[in-house]
Amino acid sequence: MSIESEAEHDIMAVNSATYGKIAGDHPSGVTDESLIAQAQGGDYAAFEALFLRHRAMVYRYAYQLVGRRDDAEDLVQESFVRAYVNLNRYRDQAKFTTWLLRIVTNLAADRARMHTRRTNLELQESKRGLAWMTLGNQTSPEADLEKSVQVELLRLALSQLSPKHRTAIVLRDVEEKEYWEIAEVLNCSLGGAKLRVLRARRALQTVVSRFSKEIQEGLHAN
Amino acid sequence: MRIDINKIAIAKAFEELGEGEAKMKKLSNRQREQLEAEAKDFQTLKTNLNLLKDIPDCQVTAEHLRTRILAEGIHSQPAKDWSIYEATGTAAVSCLVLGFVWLTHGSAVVIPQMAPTVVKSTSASQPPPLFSEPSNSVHSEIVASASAQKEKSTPSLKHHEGDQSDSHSQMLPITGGSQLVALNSGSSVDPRTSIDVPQPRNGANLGYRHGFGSASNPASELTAPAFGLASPPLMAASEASYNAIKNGTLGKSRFAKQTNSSTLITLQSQRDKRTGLIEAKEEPNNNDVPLGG
Repeated sequence: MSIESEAEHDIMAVNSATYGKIAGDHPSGVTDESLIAQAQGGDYAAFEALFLRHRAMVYRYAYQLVGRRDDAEDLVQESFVRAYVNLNRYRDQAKFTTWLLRIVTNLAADRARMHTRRTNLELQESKRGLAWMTLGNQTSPEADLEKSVQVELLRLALSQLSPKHRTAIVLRDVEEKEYWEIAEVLNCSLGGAKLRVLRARRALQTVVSRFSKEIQEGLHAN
Repeated sequence: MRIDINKIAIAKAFEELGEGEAKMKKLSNRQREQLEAEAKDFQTLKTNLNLLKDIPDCQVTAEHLRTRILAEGIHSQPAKDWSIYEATGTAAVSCLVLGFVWLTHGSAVVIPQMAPTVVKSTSASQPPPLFSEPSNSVHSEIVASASAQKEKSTPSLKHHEGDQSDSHSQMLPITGGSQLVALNSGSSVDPRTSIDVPQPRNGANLGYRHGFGSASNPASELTAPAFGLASPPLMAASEASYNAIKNGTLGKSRFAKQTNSSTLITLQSQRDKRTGLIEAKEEPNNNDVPLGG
């Protein structure tokens, strides 16, 4: 890192501490809009305050979409970088969080397209892992095991859905967003968002039923 | 009216019953049992979906992001907030500039510079070319220095030099094992100022391909005598051409000479009594002869 970069880094760190205090101690005192305005004016610390404020939400959403911690963290970083690059194009027609979720959705869709093959391989591994867990080779108590199996099964089923359906399910049933927010993130009408969620739930239920049936058959075979 | 039981079951399971509640009341007992069974499955799904909220902590820190942004030198892009008026104005100005450029430069006729060249055989096994190639290295030096001089004096002709290189690539299959050793940049006369000189494009290319300049090509003055550099008179002629290029009077002097010193021969109406052919008469002063049909 050059001297100039180091100096810039130090300035950013100092400003970050200041804004971090503001955002941390008085989260409701500084609105997203004012932080965005400052960040658009070239104040990086304001952008960092936005990052600290919404990082958890973005990560949670990203994690549900990709199902892996490292991928989700990559997605978080990539989303905030993209948000930073395009910050001046942000208009307050949508909420900042909605705009962020839209970025994450698009990035996750791109990633899903790029890694279809890898996902298929992971699916095979997950199935093997699921069967192994079902056999009872787990150190956790029985209840935890059952829960883990259910979660694993559901994640596997989610990964089998199309990105559109997966996004709809995560937004509505995991993140508990309102339909109008979902419509904004997915860039569709309110009715379209409702219809997409309905279809996604049906699709998810179908996949879960199929997997449950396969596991039962596997257990009987063993 | 057909009732979508599955849809109502989903709405019931996810606690989103609105109009569905009214529809539920219209269901028969059998349909209601089916609805309850389906709703139970979806309620399980909903419960399990809530389990997904339990996720590991995020390890991405502000430092990570800052390092990433600094390391890649990422900057926030300026907003492009173009109104329709700005866009229209820019398009109009662009059209005006394009029109102006077209009117000033687009309609001008630019005759491409002919490109006589000198080739030298590099392979002893190759059959000799159709014309006598110079073997004297002095020739290459002269022509090359003429090229260099030409490039110095008329840098604006670089575009035509580029055209030459294209022509060379076309010439290569014809010359076989010959190698291009020097380029003759031709006349120092700007082609845009000499458009009144008859210069057939195809003819120029033909002359170039065979190593001889066209008769109407001022540039051929350099290479035509240069092919016989082994003899001292032609060597002198070549040097004279080089000097002409150097002084920038190569093409001009030739044309001036052609127009002033040439004599006109007019055909007479009467015939020769001995041969029966039409008589021809040499006019001493060509300025007094009207031309045209």
